[in-house]
Amino acid sequence: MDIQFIDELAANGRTPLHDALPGAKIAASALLLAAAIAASSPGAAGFVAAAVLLAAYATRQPLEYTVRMALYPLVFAALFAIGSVLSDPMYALTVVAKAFTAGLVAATLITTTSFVDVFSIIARIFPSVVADALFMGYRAFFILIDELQGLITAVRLRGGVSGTLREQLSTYGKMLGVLVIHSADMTERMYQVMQVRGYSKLIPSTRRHQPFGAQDLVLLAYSALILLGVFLYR
Amino acid sequence: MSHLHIPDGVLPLPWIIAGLAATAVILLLCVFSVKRQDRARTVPRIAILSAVMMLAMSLPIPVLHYHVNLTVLVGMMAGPAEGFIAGFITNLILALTAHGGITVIGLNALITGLEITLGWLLWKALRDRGGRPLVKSGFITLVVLAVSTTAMLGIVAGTRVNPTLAMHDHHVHSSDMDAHLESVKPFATIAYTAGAVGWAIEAIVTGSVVQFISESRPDLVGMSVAGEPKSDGDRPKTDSEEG
Repeated sequence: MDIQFIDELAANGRTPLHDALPGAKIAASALLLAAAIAASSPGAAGFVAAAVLLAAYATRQPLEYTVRMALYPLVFAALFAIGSVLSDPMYALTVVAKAFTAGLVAATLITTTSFVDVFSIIARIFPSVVADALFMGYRAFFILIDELQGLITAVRLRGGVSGTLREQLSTYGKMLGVLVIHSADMTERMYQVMQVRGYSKLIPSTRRHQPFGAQDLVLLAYSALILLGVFLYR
Repeated sequence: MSHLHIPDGVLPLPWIIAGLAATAVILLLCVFSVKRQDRARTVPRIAILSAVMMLAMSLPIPVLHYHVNLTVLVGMMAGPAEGFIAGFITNLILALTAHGGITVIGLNALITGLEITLGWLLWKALRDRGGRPLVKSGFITLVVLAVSTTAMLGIVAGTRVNPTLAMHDHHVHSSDMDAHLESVKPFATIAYTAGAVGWAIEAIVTGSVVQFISESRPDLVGMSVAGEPKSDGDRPKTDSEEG
């Protein structure tokens, strides 16, 4: 999981799916996710996966990366299905196919919509403490990962990654320790900045509400049709 | 083996709804409990803790391809309320990257919250006793992860027994139940064997982090700084206290 790369794909991609409104993409993803969950056979789950892949291909998405992302939940689905392989192989196959399809939906959404856009919509249902921490946490992640990468390079250059596995894990732990201490300092800086700027228990969003355009409606209709298809032929 | 990692479409709907509902209630209780604190201080702290967890979960350890979670560390540093919110945020962001199902966020957050709370409770009990922080926190991590893996297996075992059938269908035979539970065994075997390796890795890393912090900034894990009165790491200060 490379959040930096995902963010890069979502922020800098120029495809019709990138241009669709975040609200439409989230709603379409919810419909496709519902279709994946409602599928009760490998064929039905495969149908939804094919529909998502078709939409991604038609809109020139980097399929290789989204498919690779979707393969991650497959491993855990396989673990879950392993107990049913002999007694009910179709159930096991359905579990794996559904997991892949759901992963594909999530991967397509997040590689075409920036996290911030997704947050600005889903954060509306959360209390403001959670919503604000969600935005700030995401921003802090990028600051900390830069710092950690610099730290890893410095430790490597000084031969700090040699030794037994136990020693390497210990070194890794100490690096995280440095990061935790830096993050505590960062918390203090953020607090001071928020005090100076007059934090009033809410970070306002500057995103304006826009009505759905033609491509948003097409996307929603396409997803709704897939869901209908699954309900009819599952 | 901390968060469930169970993808979407696997668990029955009643379990998903129950997980989301329980998480919503606990999240609201946590938000309510931090309400009296200075928000300009609480929000960045929760944000940074979730960023640290996200960072740990997004970087696999070379060769082993295992990632640590640092949930126990977050419990030690932040306590259950702020820790639960941070854990929820981390799970939400990870689910959006197909790292654990979106519909399983509720159950994932409950398991993560269990680790955070247990970590906090055990650290509170052992913190001021003798022994190196490395050993104490490593031991706590092992215990917490063993409990959370068992809780996760409990959920998996429970979901295999269709709750609707179990509760309303009086014709469910015990042999059906046995067959359901039998099918969970391979999953449990893998979870406990692979999990045990993961617990050991997490224990060493968490122990090293806590040892390092206790030598440099002991106040962060609620330990006393030499020559200074012990800080109250368990209860964040209220506005009036900070004023």
